[in-house]
Amino acid sequence: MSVIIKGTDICRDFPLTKGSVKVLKHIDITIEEQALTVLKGRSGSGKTTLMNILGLLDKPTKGKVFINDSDVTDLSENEKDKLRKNYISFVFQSIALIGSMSAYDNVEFMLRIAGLPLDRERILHCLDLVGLKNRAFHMPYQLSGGEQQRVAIARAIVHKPKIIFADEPTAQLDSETSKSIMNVFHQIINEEDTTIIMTTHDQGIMEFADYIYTIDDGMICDIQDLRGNKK
Amino acid sequence: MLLLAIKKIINNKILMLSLFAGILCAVIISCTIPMYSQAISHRMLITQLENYQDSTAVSPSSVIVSCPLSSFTRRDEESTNFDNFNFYNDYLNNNIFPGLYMPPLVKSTTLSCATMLAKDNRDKKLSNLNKVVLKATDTYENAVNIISGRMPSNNIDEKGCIEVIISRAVHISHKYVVGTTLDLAYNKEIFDVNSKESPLLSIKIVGIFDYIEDSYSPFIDKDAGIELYCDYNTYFDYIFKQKDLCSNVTWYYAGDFTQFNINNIDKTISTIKSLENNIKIWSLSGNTKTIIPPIEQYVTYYDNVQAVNILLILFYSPVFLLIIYFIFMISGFVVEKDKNEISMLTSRGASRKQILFLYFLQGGAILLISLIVAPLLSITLCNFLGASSGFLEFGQRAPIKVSLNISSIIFCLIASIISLLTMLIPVYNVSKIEIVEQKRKTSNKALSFIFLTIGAIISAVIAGYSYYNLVYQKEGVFTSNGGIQPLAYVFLICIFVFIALLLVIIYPLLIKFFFNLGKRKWNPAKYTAFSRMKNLATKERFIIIFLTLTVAIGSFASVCSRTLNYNIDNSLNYLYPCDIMADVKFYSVQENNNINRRFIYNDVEGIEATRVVTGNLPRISSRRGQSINDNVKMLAINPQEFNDIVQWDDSLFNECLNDLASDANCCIISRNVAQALQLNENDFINLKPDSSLKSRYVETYRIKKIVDTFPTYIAETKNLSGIKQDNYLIVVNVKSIDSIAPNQPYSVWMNTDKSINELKSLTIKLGINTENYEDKANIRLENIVNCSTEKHMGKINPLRQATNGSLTLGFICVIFICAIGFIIYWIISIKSRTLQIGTMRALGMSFSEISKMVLWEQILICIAPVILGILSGVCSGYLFAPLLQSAFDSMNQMPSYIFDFNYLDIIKLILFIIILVSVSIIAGIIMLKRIKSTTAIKLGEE
Repeated sequence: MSVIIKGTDICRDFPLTKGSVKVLKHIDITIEEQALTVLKGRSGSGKTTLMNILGLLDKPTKGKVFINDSDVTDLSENEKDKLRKNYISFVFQSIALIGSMSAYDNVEFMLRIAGLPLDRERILHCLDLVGLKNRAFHMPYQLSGGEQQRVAIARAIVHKPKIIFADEPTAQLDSETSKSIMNVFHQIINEEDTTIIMTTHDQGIMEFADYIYTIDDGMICDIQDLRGNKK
Repeated sequence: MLLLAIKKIINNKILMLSLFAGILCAVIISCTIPMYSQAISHRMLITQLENYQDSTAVSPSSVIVSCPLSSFTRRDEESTNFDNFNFYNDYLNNNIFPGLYMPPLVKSTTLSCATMLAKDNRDKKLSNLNKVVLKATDTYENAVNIISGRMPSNNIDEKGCIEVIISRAVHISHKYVVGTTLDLAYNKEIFDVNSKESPLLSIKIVGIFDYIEDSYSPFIDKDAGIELYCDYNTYFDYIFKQKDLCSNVTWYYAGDFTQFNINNIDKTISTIKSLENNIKIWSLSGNTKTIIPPIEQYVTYYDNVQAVNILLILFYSPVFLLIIYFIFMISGFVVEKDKNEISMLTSRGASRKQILFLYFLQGGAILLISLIVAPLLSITLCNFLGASSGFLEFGQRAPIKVSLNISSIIFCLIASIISLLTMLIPVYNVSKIEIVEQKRKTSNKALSFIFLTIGAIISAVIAGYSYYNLVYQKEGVFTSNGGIQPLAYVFLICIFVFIALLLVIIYPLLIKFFFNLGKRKWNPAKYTAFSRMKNLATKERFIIIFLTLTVAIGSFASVCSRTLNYNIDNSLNYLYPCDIMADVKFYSVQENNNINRRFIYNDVEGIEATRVVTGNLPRISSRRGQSINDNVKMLAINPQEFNDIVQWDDSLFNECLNDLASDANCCIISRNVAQALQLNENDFINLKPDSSLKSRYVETYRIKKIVDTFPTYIAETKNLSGIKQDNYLIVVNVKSIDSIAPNQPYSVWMNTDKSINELKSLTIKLGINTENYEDKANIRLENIVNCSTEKHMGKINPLRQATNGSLTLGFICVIFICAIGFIIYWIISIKSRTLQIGTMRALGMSFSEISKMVLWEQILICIAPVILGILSGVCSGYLFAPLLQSAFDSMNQMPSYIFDFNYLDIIKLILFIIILVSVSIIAGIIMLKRIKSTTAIKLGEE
């Protein structure tokens, strides 16, 4: 498998009134294509910050990010927007569905952003994948937190992005549903050649990961290759 | 709790500032009502008083009591003239003059003796005795200019001679010089050499003076005869008190009414009434003259204040409603922001009262600052509005005197209480919701729709019912006793509420319709905007209602004001179409009444005039024998001259003049003549211009036109008994009248810069100085109508001023809070969607797409309110303005009411909205630029 994302010597400092806090310290990371990579770490370890940098939502203080061997660190906002539209997708811990649109419309909205045809079957298929086909036309306020998260996942996958960044996607889900979501992720990886990078605390779903990066105090302290290739 | 309240104010700076702006507007508007009405009415009063002075040549603040001392009757029959004088002098000087509350321009007491005979000691002949009057005036030192000699002292010399001064006229006519001594007595026998009696008084002339020309000279009658003036103290102590020779007294007081403090008007009116009553009681007899201030001029002030107050309250009602709604809306935003905190406090055991008290403290702090600032700002605004000459128009006007009064303070307090209570309503609603329930709370859209629909139907029905009754009653907005029909308020408020609710109900359906039409093809920006707007949330409903009301009120104000001003100006130009109109009266000095009523204003420099023959009780009749003998107004004119003089621009009027010029045998009649005599155009009508003449003095005319209006013609008036009567008009060419009945009475209509007094003098002079002075007639101008003054008075009519001022202020307030409300809404709207916008950016929507989304939302928020607001404002103005017309002149609505609409006002309003949207977009873009996706998403996690 080839490397789809590479980060070299990534540092991220956040300025304070006096001095700054170093959240990421000289991180080198490679993400394998068509694999599920998990960033693991306690609260405040810097995993979300690292994911934001790799997903081009944030810019490193120092270091480079490569996607498909192209340096994307210093791309313009428009170019980053284009990448995020078509190539990269996100699932956030805070869900953030659009309240005035139904579940179906929220998922359809992603196709609209990507400029792709509004394929009803694809939309319903994605909703079906997350187990919400029969709730397709319910508004977000009519869904529980977990159901909303599943809609967000459907939204993230509908336009067949190459890379999906998921920040604690199963945080609001029960264990059964979490496992089914992880199976969905694997299904997408296999069927649609997607690469998924996610953060989580949940030990129960580590077994689904192909690679696990343990981050502590802004540095990668352990890398596990659960495909049998230890790095 | 106070510290918490202060902290919350600081944390919610922008919203609190907006609340402050809203409360300030509410308090200012309330405060200005009594201040403005008082100031406008005061200006009107001063102008009326000045006009009174111009037309009567008497100061409206003058008190003159001139009478023989013996004419005063007192209970004590043994009182002397001196006692009487002191009694009435005290009364006038201590009660009446100070009671007028106007600083004195002149205050004098003149004592005089009865006419005496004077023997000039230079001349021994008794046949040369002159009749003189010895006088003294207490404040004449600054009213005379000594041209020879000196002022008289209060000394009486060893010979008993009293020093006096005389005027130049007396010096010239009777050759009295400085040093001349005179002996005074009532009978000439006293001067006989053999007489044993001595003269009553001996006087010595020590000075000669000229009167200083001044409107407020203490001398009422100058050079009425031979008047000798001595020192007042000498006269009072020696001539009056000691010798009891004083027989007449004149008290003269004239106050400076321009410095009149309107707060004292009650006392002034009371003083004038007291003086009026006392003068009746005194029953002064003999050669008396009394002038007291015209009380009716002062009393009209009250009528004006009341009428203006009512009008201001009427016009401010929808504005006040909008401001209260604004306060409610902003308070709602504050509470929305604090909802979680309030719910948490409730869950922790805080009572409703405690939460209400917390917000009461916040509101109270803002209110306190408003109450301090508002009165000062109100005074400034009133001064600013005093210069308004039309809606959003300002011109050179005399400043108005604005002062804070008790009514203003009361209005301020009422407005403050209403504002504070409004602020607390949203707090009350949420203060009992616990945190769990708050998190579960979903909007019940179906219920809101039902309430909105019911509200709209009720408002529409009430508005319709109100309007029907206002029109049906035909009284207009004002009752016969000067109050306002309550239905007028109801109509105004309900019509605007209906319009706003209608929009809130229908608009989402309309957006949904368009959304469904284009949703398959729209880009994310447009799609998101329409998706959001088709399900109007509470905030969006607020802002749509608010914007609709703002635009509607603005359009309404513009239309009402323009229509009123146009119709008033039109009516004034119609009733007063030139500078001066007057009847020219000829009074024969000979025994016979053959007067040649020649037109005397031909070729007078500085005057353009035309003769308008009015006849003498003219009569008209048809060939069928029907006739009209009363209330016939005949205008026999020279069409060419009439056209040059009369400033009335109307195509029908011009046609009428052309017809009369081309055919001297045609006439123009009013419609009521045609209806009464059953005549049509081209029928014939008989006119007898002078009812005292024999029947052969009748001319027959062909009816060229039947009209409803002709300058100065009023179709319907009320007679002295208050009963409506028709007035009939016939207009003919003056040549036809001159041929059958020359020498008819006429009026003169003229354009000139000369004053009324100049014209009066000129008229007399023209009568005397004619070359062919055969008939010896005294010619006078009577029933003078100073059209310029009347038009000016019409322009400064307090109701009109109040209308323009209140509509202008109301409009400015509405625009001000609309701007604040709109910008606040967008700031809150974007801030509250930080997470959503951050997510959209993360999902790949570019910055420009999100900006377009915000722009589309703004367009959707604005477009319908602007269109509907303009339409509804114009329509409600169209319906309402005629009802107001009756307030200005219920009987004399000539010519017919015309609805005036100026597109520029609407364009200004739209321009304002565009500027507002542009500012909001710029503010929005700045805020969007500051939103970082990572930070936004983190907010969601919290």
